[in-house]
Amino acid sequence: MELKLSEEQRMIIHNVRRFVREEIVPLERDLDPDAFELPAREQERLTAMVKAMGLYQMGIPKRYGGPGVDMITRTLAAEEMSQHRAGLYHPSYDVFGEEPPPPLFEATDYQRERYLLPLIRGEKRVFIGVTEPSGGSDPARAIQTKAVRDGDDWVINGSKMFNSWADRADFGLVFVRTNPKAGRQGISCFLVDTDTPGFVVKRLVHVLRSDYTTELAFEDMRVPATHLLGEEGQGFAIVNEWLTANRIPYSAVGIGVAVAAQKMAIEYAKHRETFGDVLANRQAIQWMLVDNELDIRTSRWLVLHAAQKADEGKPFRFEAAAAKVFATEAAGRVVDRSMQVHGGIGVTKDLPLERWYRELRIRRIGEGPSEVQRIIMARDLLSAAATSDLDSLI
Amino acid sequence: MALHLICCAKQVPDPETPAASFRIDPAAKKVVPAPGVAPVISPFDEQAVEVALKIKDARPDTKVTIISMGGASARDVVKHGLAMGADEGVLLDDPAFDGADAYQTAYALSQAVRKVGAFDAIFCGRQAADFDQGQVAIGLAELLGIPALINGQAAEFIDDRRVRFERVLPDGIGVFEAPTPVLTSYSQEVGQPRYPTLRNIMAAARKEITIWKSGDLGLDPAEFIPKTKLVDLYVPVYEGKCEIIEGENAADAGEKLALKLREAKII
Ligand SMILES: Cc1cc2nc3c(=O)[nH]c(=O)nc-3n(C[C@H](O)[C@H](O)[C@H](O)COP(=O)(O)OP(=O)(O)OC[C@H]3O[C@@H](n4cnc5c(N)ncnc54)[C@H](O)[C@@H]3O)c2cc1C
Repeated sequence: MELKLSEEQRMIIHNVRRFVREEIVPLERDLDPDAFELPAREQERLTAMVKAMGLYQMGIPKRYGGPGVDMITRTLAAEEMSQHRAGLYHPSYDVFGEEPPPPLFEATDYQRERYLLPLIRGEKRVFIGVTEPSGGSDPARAIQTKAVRDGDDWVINGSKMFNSWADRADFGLVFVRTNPKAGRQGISCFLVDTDTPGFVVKRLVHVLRSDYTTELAFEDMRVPATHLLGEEGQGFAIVNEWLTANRIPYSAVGIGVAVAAQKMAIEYAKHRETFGDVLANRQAIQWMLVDNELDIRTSRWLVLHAAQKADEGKPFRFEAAAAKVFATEAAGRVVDRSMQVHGGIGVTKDLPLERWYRELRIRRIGEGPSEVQRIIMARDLLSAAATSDLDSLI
Repeated sequence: MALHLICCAKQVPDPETPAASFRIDPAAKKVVPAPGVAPVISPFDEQAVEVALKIKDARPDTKVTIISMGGASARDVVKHGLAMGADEGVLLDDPAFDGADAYQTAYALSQAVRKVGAFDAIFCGRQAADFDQGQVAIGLAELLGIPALINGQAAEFIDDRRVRFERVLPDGIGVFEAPTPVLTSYSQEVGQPRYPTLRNIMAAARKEITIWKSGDLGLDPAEFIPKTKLVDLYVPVYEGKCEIIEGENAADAGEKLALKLREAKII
């Protein structure tokens, strides 16, 4: 089987590739090796360029004025956008626009005006509040933050953990328990402004990557009932559906970094001489490069399979879980081997490998850890409706 | 009056290909394409397209036609030109064109330009990024019997019949005027060519391009013969030699080094 891209898809991807190579990579020479933001002037200049190219926020549906690009193209474009030092967590420093959380596309008119449209225009930033100190793998049980109805408001008390950008965002999608007796049907999603009284950033939580996260506390925080996103009790369904869809681009970004590492390893192996010959002529090194390639190609195949199902409007939860677990683990292996090929220089901050190495470790935990993806797959495999992969391919 | 501009663009191996991947086939006297690195439009040609499109930006009824001679893969060059904003694309694709020298290329292009029809100006790169011969543009002007202005950084139409052209000189800019039709060629001083927009990419993907074989161009077999022959193609071998210059002290060693360098005519 061969992946046949249309001329249009190829041109879009080449365009993104060239942009990253010519605009993003050269900028990184002057940035701190751990930088996750561009100087404001560069950010504005490049964002304006991407907007002029019509590639800003590619995932925004046509009805919201977006280009409505299909998932396969977005997946392959994501693979290109991430091929630079900061690419894993900030592909192309977000100049292609951060996509609004898809649940916002189902918002009420009021919510759309107040949150979605400013987000699309780049005037507001958003954070996601799912995880709590009590856990993130199993939010249906772990969420303890409580919301109690009081007149036209909900009063929210509790805490959240690992909320990236919450200290810099204008609002968040915060998942809380509105009915303690209803299990996963007792969770609801609120749109919470970060300047709401009672919204407290308790501390910045520093992690393996330079871009830290936060711990939050909600102390008698009053949120108007009009800020409930979707129906009461729908919160878990919202987060589940959204995280599933996000696993596709999330995995693709990891592949991009793996591809960049593999390119570096191949180049280095061809030049570096030891014991009188280049590394590329040593079988031990060749096999590392081959294993890298196997990891990359397998990942790409899994991710594209999930993307294709998404484009066809078919269920893709199983495929997205497979892609996420394999691609994130494989990218970690690829960067690890590429580092080994480089020897000492591989662990210096002169090269991006050490940053990718650290950051990729987080990818096996964030957005649903590997174990959770395997749980999702096992459930489907063992369920009555299980089909073999060949059945699902044809 | 609507202008008609013609851009000639060649497909070349990506100049960004890592040096370690550069290979030649000495027997066939050809560069072996690096696996996994897609060929691209020659950068100077892309800059020429940019100049033509700037003229079209100012005069939107301008028609820009892009012509490329090369194998089937050169279709990507034509499509790239369309995605940048050109209106029509022509691909000259025939096994007979394989290995054409600069003269044959200029001859085939001149026939294609005649077939395309009336035009006001032709835009070429100063030289192709693969063999760097810089012959085709001036050859094409000669064969068409039109003036050529080469190595430019910008051009504009003063009126419908005259072009103003900025030529890059070693120590400045020469400003020229020429009557149309005229051929112009461009260099990196044009600056960065535009990125295709999504809308133009979609339109380019749908656009049919015209494909002409050698028979369509009415090439005279007595004329379509190479004027040059590639005798040999090889990658030079560089040898590094190291000589340590010793002296009584640093100043003495420095003096001896300076003498050595002067003897070698380096300083
Ligand atoms: C840098 C960073 C940024 C983050 N950003 C955000 C954010 O913006 N918003 C947000 O809401 N969250 C965010 N998170 C949280 C992240 O989603 C959670 O860390 C993740 O969901 C795992 O939850 P946990 O850490 O509580 O681990 P736990 O749920 O406590 O699990 C601990 C370990 O046990 C494993 N495990 C759990 N259940 C099982 C089982 N049944 N069988 C076998 N193994 C199991 C897990 O896979 C995990 O490895 C971020 C995390 C990090 C590290």
